[in-house]
Amino acid sequence: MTTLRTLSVVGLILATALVCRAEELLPRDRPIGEVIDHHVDAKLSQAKVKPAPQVADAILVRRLYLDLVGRIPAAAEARLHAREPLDTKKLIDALVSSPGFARHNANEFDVLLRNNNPLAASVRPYLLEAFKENRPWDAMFRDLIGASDRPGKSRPEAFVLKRLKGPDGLTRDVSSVFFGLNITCAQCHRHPEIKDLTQDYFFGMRAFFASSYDFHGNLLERRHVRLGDFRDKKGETRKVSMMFLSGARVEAEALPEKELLAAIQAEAKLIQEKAKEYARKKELPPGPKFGSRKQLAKLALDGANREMFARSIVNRLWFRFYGHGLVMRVDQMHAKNKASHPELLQWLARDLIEHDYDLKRLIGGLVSSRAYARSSQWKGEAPPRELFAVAVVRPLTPAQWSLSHRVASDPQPYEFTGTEEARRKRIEALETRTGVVNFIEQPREDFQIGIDEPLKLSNDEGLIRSTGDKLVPSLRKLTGPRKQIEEAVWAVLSRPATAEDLALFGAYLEERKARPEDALRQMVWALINSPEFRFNH
Amino acid sequence: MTRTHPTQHPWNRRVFLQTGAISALGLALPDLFRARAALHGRLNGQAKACILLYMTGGPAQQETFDPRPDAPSGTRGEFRPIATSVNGIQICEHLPRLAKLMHHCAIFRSVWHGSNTHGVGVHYNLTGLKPPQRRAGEPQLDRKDPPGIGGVMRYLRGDRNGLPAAVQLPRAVGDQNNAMWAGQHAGVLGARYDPLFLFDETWVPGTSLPGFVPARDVSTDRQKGRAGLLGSLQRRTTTQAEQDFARFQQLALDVLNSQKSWRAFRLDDEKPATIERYGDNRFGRSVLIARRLVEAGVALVTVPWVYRQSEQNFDTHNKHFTKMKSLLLPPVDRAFAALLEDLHERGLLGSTLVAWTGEFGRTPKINGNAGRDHWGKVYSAVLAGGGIKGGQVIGKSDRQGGLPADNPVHVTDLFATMYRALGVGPETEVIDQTGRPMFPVQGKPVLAAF
Repeated sequence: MTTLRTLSVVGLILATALVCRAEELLPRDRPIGEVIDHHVDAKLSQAKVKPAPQVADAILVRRLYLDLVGRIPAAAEARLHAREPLDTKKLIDALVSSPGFARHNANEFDVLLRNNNPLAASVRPYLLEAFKENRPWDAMFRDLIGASDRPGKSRPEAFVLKRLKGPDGLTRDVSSVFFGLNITCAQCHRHPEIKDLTQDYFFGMRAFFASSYDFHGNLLERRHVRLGDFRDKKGETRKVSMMFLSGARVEAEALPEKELLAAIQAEAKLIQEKAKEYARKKELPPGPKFGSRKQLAKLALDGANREMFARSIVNRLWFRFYGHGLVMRVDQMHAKNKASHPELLQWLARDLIEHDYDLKRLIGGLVSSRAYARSSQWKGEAPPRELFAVAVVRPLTPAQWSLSHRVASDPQPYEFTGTEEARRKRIEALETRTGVVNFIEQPREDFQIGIDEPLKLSNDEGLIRSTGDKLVPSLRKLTGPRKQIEEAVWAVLSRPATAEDLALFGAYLEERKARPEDALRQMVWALINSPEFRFNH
Repeated sequence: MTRTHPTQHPWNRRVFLQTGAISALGLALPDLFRARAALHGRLNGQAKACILLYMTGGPAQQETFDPRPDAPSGTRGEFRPIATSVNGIQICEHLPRLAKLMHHCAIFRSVWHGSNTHGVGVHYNLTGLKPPQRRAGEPQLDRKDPPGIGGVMRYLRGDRNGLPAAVQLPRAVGDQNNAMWAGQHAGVLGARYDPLFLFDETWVPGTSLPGFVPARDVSTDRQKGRAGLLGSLQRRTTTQAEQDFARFQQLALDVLNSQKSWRAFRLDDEKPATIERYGDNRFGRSVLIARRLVEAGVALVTVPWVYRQSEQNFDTHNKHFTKMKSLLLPPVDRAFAALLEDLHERGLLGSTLVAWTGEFGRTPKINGNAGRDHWGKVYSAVLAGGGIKGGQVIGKSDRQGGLPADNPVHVTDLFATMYRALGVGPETEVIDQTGRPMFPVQGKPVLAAF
């Protein structure tokens, strides 16, 4: 049997070199939000830029709802927060502890794991479970690459299993999603910017999955595998060995060629036999004691390398909430590409590692800074994004849009009537039956809205009918256009109506007072189609 | 199909509305400049429109328009050159249809910019301008970028007949890592000058968009009132992202709700033989739509090479010759040749510039995987129509096809040549969103091309 042995290789460390020693970072016990503001403010004053003021409370509430539970606050919720001074910490705590947090993060991480490939397999059921139990990110990583023995039906290892047919894509996605480094360029040639990133890295990462195979839907590993060679651009044959992105290798103590071939053949025969009997016996062929995916997890999460793993998720989540990464692009985290706030990134990564990779803590912390709560308005040319002087306006994701469209169209279940338990059930029922529409583009770094969107919104009869379907009848029960406008603006835009809103819609409703139902419908349609609804601003 | 010539149409109503609304909306001075540029923007080039065929991935010069049968071994390709309609000009044997049309074409064999990075090459070959320095990765779309040729033409020429002046279909120029490289939108000029992008992967070019029922041309009161309300909300937006969204939303609604303008995107009234002539595939159909769009008054249509997987573009690091022969060259030869013939037969070739380029060429050296790698030191481009003198070769590469040997043409000069055909010169000024003037033509036109 092949035994594996980790070699510590003094190779190129691709991860950004640590900028300062641990004792030079801010103390461990400072709240995350404070640490963020400390570093962001320091850079702002260095650049002599005065940041935008804090955003109005109603908009901050909307932002937090969208970012933490993936929907706008319903009219009743938005109004409730407006009645008393806003306690941001309390609101964040409530939102991250609500079922919506798990649902929203399952959606977000499902997209993240697909790595821009809409056709990649979904692992959402697993993610939903994992976020419900607040599973640590390192454990989720092991689950997803099939390196844990977690029982359960939710099949996280589908992440690898469904990509086995395209091992190059699998290699790209694992490196990019978990370690922030897209190494596809190295598939055919050296990385254009990091000259030391040779093809060895690409084939080295791919080798961790070389023994994996799909056995009746089970992700197994062969005991014997020939890693083989690849031909570099010069046409020279180079031997492949398992190598992590840091340059650390796992050297297989391979059998002599002849014996290895015999062992591979014998194992193939055994697998074939087991496959024939599988329907009857449900027996799986034996695998190695400590497979190569486990080797990968061990290497990636050991003391020397885990920083890379932690930084990548910190940067991805930072990008999600701040609209611009601490390192841009998020899949180009290498030594040549410096972070805008290196000490902050390092502190956040340390905090994540020392708190057992607790994503809930990290997410709650990221949205608790003053930098997060800035206004998105800026007069004149905006300062560079990496200063975080002004909030970035972010388009809603398809899932955020779909649920928000429903919450705006049907705010009643969210009203504070009946017992808390009854309310929870009503909300759950509404959120479970709301699907995700396919015509809203998944925002990316290079966001463009699709042609489908304006088309559907103005032409699709079904969609037009469902827009405001429950809201309009309830508006009709209110007396006078002022109340109707105020309620509609709360329901769709989650804020009090302005004088401008009252004038615009007041005139519109007045003109069409012979057809009040129709007029209210058009008002709600226009509000839901407005840019203000379409963005997290 | 009636033949229309773009210049015969007066400015459409929407343009006037935009300019008329200036004082009412209290727009700033830069907007006034832009509006003035738009009104005075009758460009006097012989070409009234341009179709840009963009070969994503970087096509090998040796296996297209610059065959090197005498190159030393290790660099010499597998294909033979063939004679063309012009004495003394030879091109690759897998472009037989184009070979018969070389009298329309000027081949540039010494184009260069020096970069071997896709994103940089794409930017150069869609803007004719140097891309800004980036911190990491390849250039991504950014509003601070220089404008693509589509954005510039939309700015200078303005929209006509309910159609935006610039359109790109049926996909973005990108690969598995970069959905859309920089250089494709209007950059600093602002989203209002972005081309209309039709990138739906499920859309068969030439058919209706899935699920789309065009609205009636005459709006009902309901539609008018609703659109008016939305317009008011759109105008209240204050951030750039929201304004960009609102403009695109409006543009898409304008184009698609007008049956007349949408007709240009449909191929129902084309003969099956015509579709066959261009090739009944995503690329061929899109090139045919490009011709229809030009007839309908669009100034610039970009058609990038289509592919489903990254190994199906011109980035042929491996199995270069197999892919070129079987997958890449035949559909390009067919569509490009059909376009030239069709424009010629319709009397439109004189007023339509057709350009063929990609981000760079490929290495003289054939690598260990029977592939060629990135090569920005020299590559080939082709211009035809729009006042370009056909039947000539401009510039020369050296024996290996690795460096310009004679008359090097920097890509900015290639674009200056294209712009000159379109009536845009080095003195032509555009004003960016912040009110700063900039000059989209940075190179010197190659006068021998005309």
